[in-house]
Amino acid sequence: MDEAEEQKRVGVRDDIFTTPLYPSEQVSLKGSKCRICGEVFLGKHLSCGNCANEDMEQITLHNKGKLWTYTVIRNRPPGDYKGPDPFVPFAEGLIELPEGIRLLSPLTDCDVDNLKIGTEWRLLVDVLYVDDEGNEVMSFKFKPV
Amino acid sequence: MKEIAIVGVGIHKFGRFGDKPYTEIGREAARMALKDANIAWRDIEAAYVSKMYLPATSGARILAPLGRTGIPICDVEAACASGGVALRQAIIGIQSGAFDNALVLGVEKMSRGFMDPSMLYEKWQILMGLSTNPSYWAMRARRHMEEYGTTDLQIAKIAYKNHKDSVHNPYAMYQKEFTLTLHKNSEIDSLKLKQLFSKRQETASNLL
Repeated sequence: MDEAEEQKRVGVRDDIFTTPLYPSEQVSLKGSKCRICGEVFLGKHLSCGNCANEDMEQITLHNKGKLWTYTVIRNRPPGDYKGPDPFVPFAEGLIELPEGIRLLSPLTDCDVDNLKIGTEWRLLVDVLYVDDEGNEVMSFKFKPV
Repeated sequence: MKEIAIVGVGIHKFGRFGDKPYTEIGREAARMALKDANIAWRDIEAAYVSKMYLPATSGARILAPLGRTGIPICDVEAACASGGVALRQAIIGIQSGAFDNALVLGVEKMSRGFMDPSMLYEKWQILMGLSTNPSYWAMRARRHMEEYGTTDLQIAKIAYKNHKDSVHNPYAMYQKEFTLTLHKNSEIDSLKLKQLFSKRQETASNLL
């Protein structure tokens, strides 16, 4: 994709995606890892939330993990939720990545009434909505492997 | 360490009270606690008022009509831990020798439905729909069931027991027994956890 097209995409949070944001399939999540205790966090962290040291390295997170727990959202979330309108019930869950981090994520491409803890899921980066400036705002979900 | 005692308590019924202002709700609990302790408001030397969604200086607005006695009235907010933090602050104040008698009050008045997510979540979480509080407890429950073999029925029994007890508590929001069958048939998901365990307005008061 050319540069002009690339500039039309932004992350829903600016520190969690590898760039470029084209093509989506090649985008990964970024995290921070504590060099002292090994704890991993989503996005850029200057201090470790576990041991409070400031020796953090930026890492790229694995794009596959296991479902640790889940629930089904059957009412439209409050505030400026950008999911489908009219609302479609969806599942969310904690995906445990090989790094040890458990990532809260919407779950997609699945039967919400037949989810199973321990199953394998893969990262899906896609467009959540288009903002007022015409940018495609990218967010993440996980889909079954 | 000084020995510290709760010498009086007051409470306002839990529930939805329409246009009744939080100031009146809180004041009723405070007056009840003062009466219970047999202490005059003028003898209270400090007050800590916990709340989350009410406006600035809620404590002063609630308590000033009892008399502007010149004491410090401090609002405390720590989400679900607000009440405990307010109580702790009063204990610390008494321990320090700053004062001997304190009033600790907790009040909340909330609208129906989900709480305002901007109070608790970042913008990106709200945009993605990750800002529904009950789902966090639902996910905890689901994981507990997976790890420990906890059953739907066991979780249902907690709600059953609590609702059964509520009939004997004139201050409870829902004074209504539920049948275990209803609970048993409830899918343990966010919606149902919310229905069964939600509470929306509350107030209580302690005098130290």
